[in-house]
Amino acid sequence: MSVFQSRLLSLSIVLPFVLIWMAAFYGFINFKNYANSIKNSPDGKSLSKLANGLAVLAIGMPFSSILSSLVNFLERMSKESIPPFTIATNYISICIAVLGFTLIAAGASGLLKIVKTKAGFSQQALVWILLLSIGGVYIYLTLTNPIRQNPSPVTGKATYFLPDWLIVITIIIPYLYVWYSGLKAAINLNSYQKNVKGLIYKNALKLLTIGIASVIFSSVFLQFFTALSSGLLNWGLTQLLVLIYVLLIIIAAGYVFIALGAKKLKKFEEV
Amino acid sequence: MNAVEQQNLYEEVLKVTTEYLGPAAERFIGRQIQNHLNKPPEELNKEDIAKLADWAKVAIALLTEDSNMVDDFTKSLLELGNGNDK
Repeated sequence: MSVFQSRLLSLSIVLPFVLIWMAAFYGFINFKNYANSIKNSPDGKSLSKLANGLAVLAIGMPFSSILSSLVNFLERMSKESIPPFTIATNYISICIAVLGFTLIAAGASGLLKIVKTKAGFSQQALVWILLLSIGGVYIYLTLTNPIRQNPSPVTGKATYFLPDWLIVITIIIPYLYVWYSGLKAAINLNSYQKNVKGLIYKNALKLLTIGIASVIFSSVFLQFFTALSSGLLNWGLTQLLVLIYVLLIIIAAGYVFIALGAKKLKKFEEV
Repeated sequence: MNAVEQQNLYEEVLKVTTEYLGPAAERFIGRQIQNHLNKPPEELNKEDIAKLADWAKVAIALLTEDSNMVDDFTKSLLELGNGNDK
């Protein structure tokens, strides 16, 4: 690949990311404004937690990307810094995901308590089935990743630079918790949306529920992408770009729905 | 109307509004009463219902494109002012 092609590839990845960050900020800001306007109401407190969780994810996305770019730059200057920087950036990403999804799950759980109901058994079972199947594949792919501890001869980087037991405790388990929290939040929000009173209110919530579910699932796909990184080294550039753009479109769509839902809910407090 | 009857009427209005606006109902109807009737919600009386219904209809129409829903809501409110309390 020529320098020009490399720059063009970078730009084609950076620009959609910037658009997604803008959509995420727009969605979070609108939602936070709405939650603040009703913070003394029973639903306001839970919606505020939900908004804060979205804020952590929205701010975490550009933060992680900028941090990764900075680390990549620094690593070129000193190969010895690659392992600690890799570990640090992985852990920062995990902390952001754990904090964000913990808040989202707490908010969703609080909303469900308002309507005094629980997610249906079939929905809860679906969460566990999804978690076990996705988690199982993720654990297998992560622990069989040939470059999880030792660097790749091509890139000089390993995915984690950690022993397996630390990968399990500090990477795999937190991400399984994140996915469980996210999936649980999605079904709790779905149950809240279905059981809450208010024919018009429900419609506005629908957009929000779809948006958050999209963001949750796209996060899962991104983790799979990381776990599959060793396999993707053998992929062509086209397949790699298609995978990246599919993930980006899912993320963007999710935040657009969150923004639209937030705007609709905000109108309820303005008319 | 005495205070108890006013409170009952307000609760009936709230109940009707909750069917359409859910958790946002109390804030919505409180705003309509305070901003357009210039009184606290607990002083709502039957003579106010017609005017409240007019303002609420305009506001609800901004939240949904379903005109049938808007009409149903308005009709339910007006019934409370006609003495058809549930």
